Amino acid sequence: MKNKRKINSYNFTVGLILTLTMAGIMILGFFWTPYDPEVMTGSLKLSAPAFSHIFGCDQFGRDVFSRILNGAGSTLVIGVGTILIGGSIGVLLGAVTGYFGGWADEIIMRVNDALAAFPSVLLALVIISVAGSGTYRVMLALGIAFIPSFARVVRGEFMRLREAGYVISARLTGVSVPRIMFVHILPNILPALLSALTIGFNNAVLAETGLSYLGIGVQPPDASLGRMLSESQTYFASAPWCAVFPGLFLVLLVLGVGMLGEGILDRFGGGR
Amino acid sequence: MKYIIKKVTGLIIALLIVSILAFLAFEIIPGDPARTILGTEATDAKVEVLREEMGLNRPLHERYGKWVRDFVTGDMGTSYYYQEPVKEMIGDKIPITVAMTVLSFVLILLVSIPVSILCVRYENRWIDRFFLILNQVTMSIPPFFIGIIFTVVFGLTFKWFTPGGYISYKDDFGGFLGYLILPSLAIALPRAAMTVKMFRSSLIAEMRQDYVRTAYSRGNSPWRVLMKHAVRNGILPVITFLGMMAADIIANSIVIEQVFGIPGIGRTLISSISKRDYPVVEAVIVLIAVVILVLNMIVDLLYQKLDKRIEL
Amino acid sequence: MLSVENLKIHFDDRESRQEVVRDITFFMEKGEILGLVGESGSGKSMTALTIAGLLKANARLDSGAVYFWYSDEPERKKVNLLQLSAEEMRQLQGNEISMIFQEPMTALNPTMRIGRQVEEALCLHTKLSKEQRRERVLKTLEDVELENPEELVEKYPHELSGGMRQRVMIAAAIVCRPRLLIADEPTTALDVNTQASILELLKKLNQKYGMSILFISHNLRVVGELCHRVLVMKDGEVVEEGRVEEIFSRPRHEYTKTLIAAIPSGTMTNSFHEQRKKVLELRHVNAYYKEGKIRRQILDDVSFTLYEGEMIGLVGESGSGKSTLCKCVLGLLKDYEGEVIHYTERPQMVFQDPYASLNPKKTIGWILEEPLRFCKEGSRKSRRAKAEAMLEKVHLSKEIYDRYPRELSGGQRQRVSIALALMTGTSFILADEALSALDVTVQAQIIALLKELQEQEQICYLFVSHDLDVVNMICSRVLVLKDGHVNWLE
Repeated sequence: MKNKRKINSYNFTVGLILTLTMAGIMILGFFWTPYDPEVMTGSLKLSAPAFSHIFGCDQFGRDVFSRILNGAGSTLVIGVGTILIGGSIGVLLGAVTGYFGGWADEIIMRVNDALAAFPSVLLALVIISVAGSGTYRVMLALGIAFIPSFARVVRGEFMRLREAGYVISARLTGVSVPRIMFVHILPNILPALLSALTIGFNNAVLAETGLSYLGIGVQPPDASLGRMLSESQTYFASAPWCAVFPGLFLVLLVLGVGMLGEGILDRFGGGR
Repeated sequence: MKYIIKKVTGLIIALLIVSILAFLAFEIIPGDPARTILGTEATDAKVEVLREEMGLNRPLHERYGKWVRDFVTGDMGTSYYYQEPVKEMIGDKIPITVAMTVLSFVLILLVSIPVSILCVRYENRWIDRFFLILNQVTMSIPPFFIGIIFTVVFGLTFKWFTPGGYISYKDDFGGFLGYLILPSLAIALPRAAMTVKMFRSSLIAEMRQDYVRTAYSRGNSPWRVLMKHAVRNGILPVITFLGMMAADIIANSIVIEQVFGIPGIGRTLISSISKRDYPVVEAVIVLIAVVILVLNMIVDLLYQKLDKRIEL
Repeated sequence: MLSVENLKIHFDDRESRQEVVRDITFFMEKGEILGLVGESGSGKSMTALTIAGLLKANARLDSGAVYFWYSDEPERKKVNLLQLSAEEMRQLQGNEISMIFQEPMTALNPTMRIGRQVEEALCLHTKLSKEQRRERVLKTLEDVELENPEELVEKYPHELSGGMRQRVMIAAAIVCRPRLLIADEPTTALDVNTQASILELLKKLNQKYGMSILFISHNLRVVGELCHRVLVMKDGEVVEEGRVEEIFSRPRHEYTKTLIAAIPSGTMTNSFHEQRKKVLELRHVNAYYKEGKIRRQILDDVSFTLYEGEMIGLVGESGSGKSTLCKCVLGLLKDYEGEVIHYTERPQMVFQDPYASLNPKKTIGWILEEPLRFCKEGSRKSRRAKAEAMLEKVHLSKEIYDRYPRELSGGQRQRVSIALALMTGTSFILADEALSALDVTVQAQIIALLKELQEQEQICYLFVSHDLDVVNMICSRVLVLKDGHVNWLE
């Protein structure tokens, strides 16, 4: 028991620090980059990391660090946007279906199951192939694709808690249904919901970078970590920094948010 | 039996939903397929003739019915871009993607089951902690990044294989599988880490159960309790989890095919999306959905076989 | 045959050190049934687990010895169980010393056939052939009076009833003919009739095989029926020890007297209050429950009346329809025929698990004020005043107004639950197993509170429980629910 607690608390702390650091860097990227990420300097083509360009330069002589800052910005926008779209609709659907049950639940969950069996990236691919690519379309596509996963988590929690003693008490007292759902139940599922949101954020980031890597996600001139990776793959042997640093940035971001999600569950409990 | 019928009906309903959604999604694409095929220079009359030929003037439900019938009989439409039947375009690519998916599954199981059991047997000892941290990091690496590192390390540095030097299964089956191992491992590693996390906590929960105490009270050794009692119960939630992962593996294989230059179904899908070759996209997506849904049903049936508590 | 000397155990939980067993000494003769009585936390289970070699990793042994004689020979070989290696201990477990547990459903492996579970100890401790083992398993299943052993060995635990599962547990424990059987609350999870038959079975096995039984229970009545000798434990110490007859006729310790007082005397005060006002009336209620596509009838022609200020008990085993009846009374069930008439306000409910019945994210004050807030009644100040007055009424300090449920003890939470029910102004409380999760002493306090409210505020109760002893003691009339039918207990 003793040891478990130790591991748990380090999950939360390390996760939080890492997440805040990465988020800080990404937000910084919106306002300031050491160099203009689009400016190509011929003499600096594929130059190694140095004091002036800490992460080196890419095949066009652009500063890799500035491009990471810039690319991470669109990643952040897409990640947050996705969980906002998917999360809000998913919570609403899950809360209503989980609390009331019945035929509406049956129908929505059937559709949900059919969609959930479907990889969300693939679903996003369908939407992108119909609607076209670009930062905001990708965000919308992923947001819609992620609704089922959020709905499922929230529904499960609501189903579990609608039979809880304090909910039945509230029902007997005559508390209104929306109040029961959002004042009595919602605070109790917050840890589970937050952890689902962190998982969703990570999946969105991985999906976005994957799509961009394939060339159907974020489109130029917007920078993207995924596209940086695919462009630099050819030069990996001669200029590994072009791929390693964006990749490392991605790993640290996902790791931080993942640990934070774990930590939230460990510290505040899934309610179980 | 009842359970099987229930699951099969569930599958049929799910297939219906997916097919309708896919059909509708490609229905609402702006632009006239007939005009796309004939090009912008074609006369209206010509386009109208082709529309009639393709059945585009018929009501929606009739077209859906025809589309489903054709699909089931193997007619998946004609590519706009190559003017070739889709079936021929993707037919010989399916085995590649299937092989990679199966290989990934095998690797996931090979890695995750022993690691999980080891972690639980030595819970909270250094080996468990080591894997706990390794897991968390591995889970966070995107498969295509692992793939890129693999191509550089094993391909360019150690020269174990030639990146992009894909070997067709028609020429050399052994070589084909050999080429697929690294891509499959790139897909499998993060997922194996997730499986370990899942299986480990499931096993730990089982080891806290009353029946485990009973087993100890009969004089079972810790290893025996773990292997004979806990594993069988602890693996149940993992089976469901693996079923859900099928979708994930296939989705990731699309990206990994690109990294390693494997001409599987994923590459066809991506190039078709860029070319707006909708019949191909539609066919591939529906095909993948069918595979995933069927896989999920198999997992459900397997689950029922193992968990005697489920009846109906 | 068994001798426990100066046993001391404590728990290492994070920083705190919790002594659970403080200096216990006792012995057991061969063929004896020894009862170990006490409430949860008294250290009785910990003592049993120590003897069985099943202590959890965070339990630390401070001192003491457990001697076990594993032969009847005159020279009598004796070992100190606490000094055996894990491997040596495993050779005794399930072979010479066996244990059965409270909850037979969870104590059996859900995915292993009955036959294999009973056989397991034989595989571990004997060199019998497959056929010999099978023969022995069937014989043992007959010993525990289970019918059709041949069919039974192929089944899984979930296909059996609670009583059958406990018999299977016993069979698996005695298949190697152990000298000592440790039974940890083996009848607590069972209904009254099954309880009696399991006790009968243990008695028979004791006589037939001369097997010693260490019987652990919180229920002195059950111990009195079965055991030769009793140890009463409280806070990790033995407070009283003696033959059953002595303990019952001349209890010396205060705590033993409380326990004996908790056993129903058998004479009930059957006072009817026909002239009083009716609160609830059920007329010919048939209730149904939909399980998948099948609509099952749960209640069959249930009729009864509850009067003002009265306390009615409702007993029945799990699956008898208790919770369906509750839902019906509460208006939470739609699918029923017949009439459920409320003459006053709707009832409020007090639940079994006081941990689950209070919203963990809200303060006690917030929880208590919620019914008022909903009625838009009064100012913040007047609501607070009312909540505090109610806390006083259930004998809780005003200070807990700002506390969270997790900061309270089980008994305090149950008081808050009662206060919450009364906040709505109802005079009818439905108590669903409201005492089951509490210790005997806390139970007594809550019962006193319920009685007090009954007399002072004319509150009436429908008191639902599986424990006939408790219900008999506090209720004026008792309804027995069986297979959906109700009958008044004579």
